[in-house]
Amino acid sequence: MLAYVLRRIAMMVPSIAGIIMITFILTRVLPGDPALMITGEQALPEFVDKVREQYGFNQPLLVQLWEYLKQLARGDLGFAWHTGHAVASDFVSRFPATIELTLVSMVIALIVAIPLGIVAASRQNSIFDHFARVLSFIGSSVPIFWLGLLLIGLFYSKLGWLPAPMGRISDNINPPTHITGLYVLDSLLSWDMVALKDSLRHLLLPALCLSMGTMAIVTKMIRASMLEVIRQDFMRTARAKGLSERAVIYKHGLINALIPTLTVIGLQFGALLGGAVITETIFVWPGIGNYVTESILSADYAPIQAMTLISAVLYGCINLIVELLYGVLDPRVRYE
Amino acid sequence: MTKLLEIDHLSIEFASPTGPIQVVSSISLDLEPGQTHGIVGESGSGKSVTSLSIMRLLPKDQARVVEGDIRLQGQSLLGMSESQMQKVRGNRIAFIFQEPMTALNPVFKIGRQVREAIRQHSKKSKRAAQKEAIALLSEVGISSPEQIVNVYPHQLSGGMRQRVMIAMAIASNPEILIADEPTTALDVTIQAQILDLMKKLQKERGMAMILITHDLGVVAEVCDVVSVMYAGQIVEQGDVKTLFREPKHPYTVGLLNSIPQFSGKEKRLQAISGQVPHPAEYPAGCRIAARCPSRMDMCDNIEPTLYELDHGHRCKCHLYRGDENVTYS
Repeated sequence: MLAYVLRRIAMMVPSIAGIIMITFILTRVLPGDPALMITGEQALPEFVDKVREQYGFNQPLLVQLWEYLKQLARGDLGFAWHTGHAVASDFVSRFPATIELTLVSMVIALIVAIPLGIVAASRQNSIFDHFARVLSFIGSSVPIFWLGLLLIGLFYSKLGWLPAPMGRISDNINPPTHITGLYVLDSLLSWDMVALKDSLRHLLLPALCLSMGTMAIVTKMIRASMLEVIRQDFMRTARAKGLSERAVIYKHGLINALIPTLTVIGLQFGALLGGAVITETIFVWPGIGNYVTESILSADYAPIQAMTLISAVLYGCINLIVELLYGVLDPRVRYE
Repeated sequence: MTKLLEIDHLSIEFASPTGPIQVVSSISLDLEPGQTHGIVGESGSGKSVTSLSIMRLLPKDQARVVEGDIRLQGQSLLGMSESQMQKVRGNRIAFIFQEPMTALNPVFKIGRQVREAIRQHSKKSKRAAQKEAIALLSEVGISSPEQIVNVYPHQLSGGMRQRVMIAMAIASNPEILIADEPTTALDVTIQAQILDLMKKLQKERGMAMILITHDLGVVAEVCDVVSVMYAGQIVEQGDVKTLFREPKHPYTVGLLNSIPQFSGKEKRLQAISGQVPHPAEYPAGCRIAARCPSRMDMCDNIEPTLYELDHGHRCKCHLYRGDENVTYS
């Protein structure tokens, strides 16, 4: 088991090396002169050249790559000039916002998707099944930017039920004491009901928006794998024991149907943790996705490269965790 | 006296894109306490459908009983509510399936699955049920039951899994045990062990048994009464000794001739030519006519009834009609 984990981690090394190379080259190839972005359009050419030299942008690509690798080897992710902070400290301050958004959107998605998928499968072609199919169709095809604007338009502009889509908490409310960085959790831990209520109100729309895609795909997966499980012989055995249909489905069916769905949930989770770029931008959510967007718009190489690298590592780790979870759910899985 | 189990002119239809298809037609059989009734037939003859219909385990959206009734001690099973039926399943009638490899839930330990069968119909604590599960496993011939309760199905052989299935089936001391080809998926040596085990348990616990099989050897060894099924109908029914000694129906005769004999001279095995027709293509007359060596002209158009011969020996063939009971339909 431990050997398996170590081997899997070792296997991540080549893919991460590849990702480092590709992001490095892609950022350099993209149009936009970082020196000009730093100095501003109106700067004197001599000053621009000086900045170019200072950041090493005038060096040959291979030299720049070598410098970058040396810097990574020291554990330094670089400096984000557009924020004026080290990338690592930017990441630390922004990552909790993304984790919070991702977790809440996953929870919303799973709370809806798992029961809906089960009901859809156990009552195939019923009204629930049609509803599930329509929902997963809409969820997977509606563009997030459109849905986000629609939600804002309805709940903020029209009805006024929710605060302006600006960040995680209103300006006039103090964020809760920093414990984990997740506002909802922190305000619960420090029993700050004002902050809790306000941060939940800010979280609701972006989380809902972000959950749609996951909800759609998980509903589909649960429905499909449940339909397969329902026809299995052991389900008939359970019925023959005299179990109620509900017990048969929830006790014997659900775990078996969750096994294939776990992959999808893990992949979604990993992808969202890498930053939900569109959702975070629409809702001005101060997370990783927003940070990456800002970095790209300012041609700020270091944070783009660093965030891509971190996303890749996170993604790999989550995949590994999913594989280990397989072993927890399914006793037939062995790690060799 | 009311019979333990009585299947009374049961007909079952399955939905199909081209309209309903009748896969079981007007089947009747009785089961006395402690008796073993064998149902023999080729694949597709409707024997599994019949057995599943007793437990009402056929898929509701596809199968429908269109005629007849199934009564357990006089009480109609078909008229029961779903929750009443749940009290029958596993408790008064238990089932052993053909495929031990897939009939156990792969993600639960054996102990949990046996305990579930025990606790479903009794109010026992988990601890008591675990103890009883171990006792049951040892009763079905598993040598180290304390270890087996803690393993998963995939760690057991087919024969062991079938023993576990049997342990679960007898957990609530059912009056009737239905076994659908319980040994078909097993090695020959294991088959004999499992049959012996089932015979032993049946005797000790006084259960009645319905044994579905395509193996006449198994029937001869285990059963008291046998029904031969062909194309959704019972073509011959009677006690095992009579039926094996004096098979009446040409189909039964054909079946018996297709068993290899080890005594006497070497003979070529006689196969029954042709195939079971698809349920949608059953002919108007006798359903075996096309494959029957004794076919007469009337067989193509007139369906024979199940003629009573003697001592409950019945045969659905025009060869045995008395002149008075010909029915033209």
